[in-house]
Amino acid sequence: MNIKKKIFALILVISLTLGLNQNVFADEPLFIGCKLQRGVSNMYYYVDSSAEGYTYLINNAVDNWVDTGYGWNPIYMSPVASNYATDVDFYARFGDELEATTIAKTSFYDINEGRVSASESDWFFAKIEINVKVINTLREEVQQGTIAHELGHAFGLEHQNKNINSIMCQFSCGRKMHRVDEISHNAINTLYN
Amino acid sequence: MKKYCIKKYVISFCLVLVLAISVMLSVYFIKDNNSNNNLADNEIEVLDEDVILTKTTEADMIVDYSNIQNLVKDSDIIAIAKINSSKGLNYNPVSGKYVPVYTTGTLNIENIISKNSDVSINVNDNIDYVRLGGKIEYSEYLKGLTEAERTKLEQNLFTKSQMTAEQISKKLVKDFYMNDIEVESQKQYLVFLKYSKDYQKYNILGFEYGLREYDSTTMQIKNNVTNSFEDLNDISNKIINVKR
Repeated sequence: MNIKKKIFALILVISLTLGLNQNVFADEPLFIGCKLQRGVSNMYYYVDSSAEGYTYLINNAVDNWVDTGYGWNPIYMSPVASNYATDVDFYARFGDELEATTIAKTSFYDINEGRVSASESDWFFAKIEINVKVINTLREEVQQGTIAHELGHAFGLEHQNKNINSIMCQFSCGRKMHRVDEISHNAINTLYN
Repeated sequence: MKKYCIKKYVISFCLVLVLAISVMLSVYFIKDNNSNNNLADNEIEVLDEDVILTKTTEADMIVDYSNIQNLVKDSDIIAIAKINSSKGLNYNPVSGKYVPVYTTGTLNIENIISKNSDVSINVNDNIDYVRLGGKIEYSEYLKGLTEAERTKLEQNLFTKSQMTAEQISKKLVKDFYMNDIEVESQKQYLVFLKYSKDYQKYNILGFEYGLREYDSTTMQIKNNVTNSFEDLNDISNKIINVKR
């Protein structure tokens, strides 16, 4: 009987250990490689007149990153009326046929002769472009999720297509989450603290 | 006998436990090695001194072209082709509008793997193509931007640059989606093509999934994600199976 109890206790301890180690199997956040040069703690964002119709969704997505519900992170963003020295700019365009599968995109800018891509150089600002032709075919919840997804890129997060519950999973890969998830929230703390 | 049974269970359990821990550790180390953290160490890519702005793009997509089924379904013709020429533009002469930077040129169809019945292209045909992403002169790039975008770029550029405005205008802008590859002239590729009404040319779909280098000596196709080569026959069979 004593031996049986010992075996049972051993099984319990091991199960608990394996359970706590689930992080090994869980999807970890992926990073583009670099990040915003000026950090995320006092950012300014500009919404171009072309994207005025999406201001409500943009502001909601920004607010979601500022207050994810998972505790503190260093993100703080304020809207401004011009794009002078802003960290993130929003535009909207009626997409070209060559971009027929793009819902929205984020580009990274650091004009410094000879600099290479976002995986090798921190960027001064990011530009988010919404493809009106495609995004308008999606319901509002997904539209907001896409904008939050693009903001994640602007901050330095890479796609997380193996985790459909991540805001950084592409919509084409089955993203179910339309708000910032805990892993992405923690990733920002890792990147900027 | 009882003690023997218990001992057997304990040993079996320990073996299972060791196996579980080994699997766990293997998965952990494999995930760690496959980390997407591309922070530059000592190996920094040799920079093209003519490129003044490298614009890389991440996007949320509505179609997953990493899935070959989607790529095949959207293609009018899938072929082995040799790129004859390539040039970057940001203007569509058909529509008369400024568009995202793209590459255009001609390619020669060397081998057709699959095509829709209404496609009249044959082996040895030269056709015009377009593909999103490319390199253009900075002065041309500026023409495709709004006033606000242009002003912002120039504020940053002239603050940091040691060059004159004229020197800068001749430099290049390199504009690609992240992880995509460039089209290179005189190279052979497996291409997935869809006719574009807006450009009246064939569009090479699918970014790095729809343009894959072909090695004619080994008859293998490059996987741009793993950088390994795969047998053309295997890929052809997958394509044909999807088409059925």
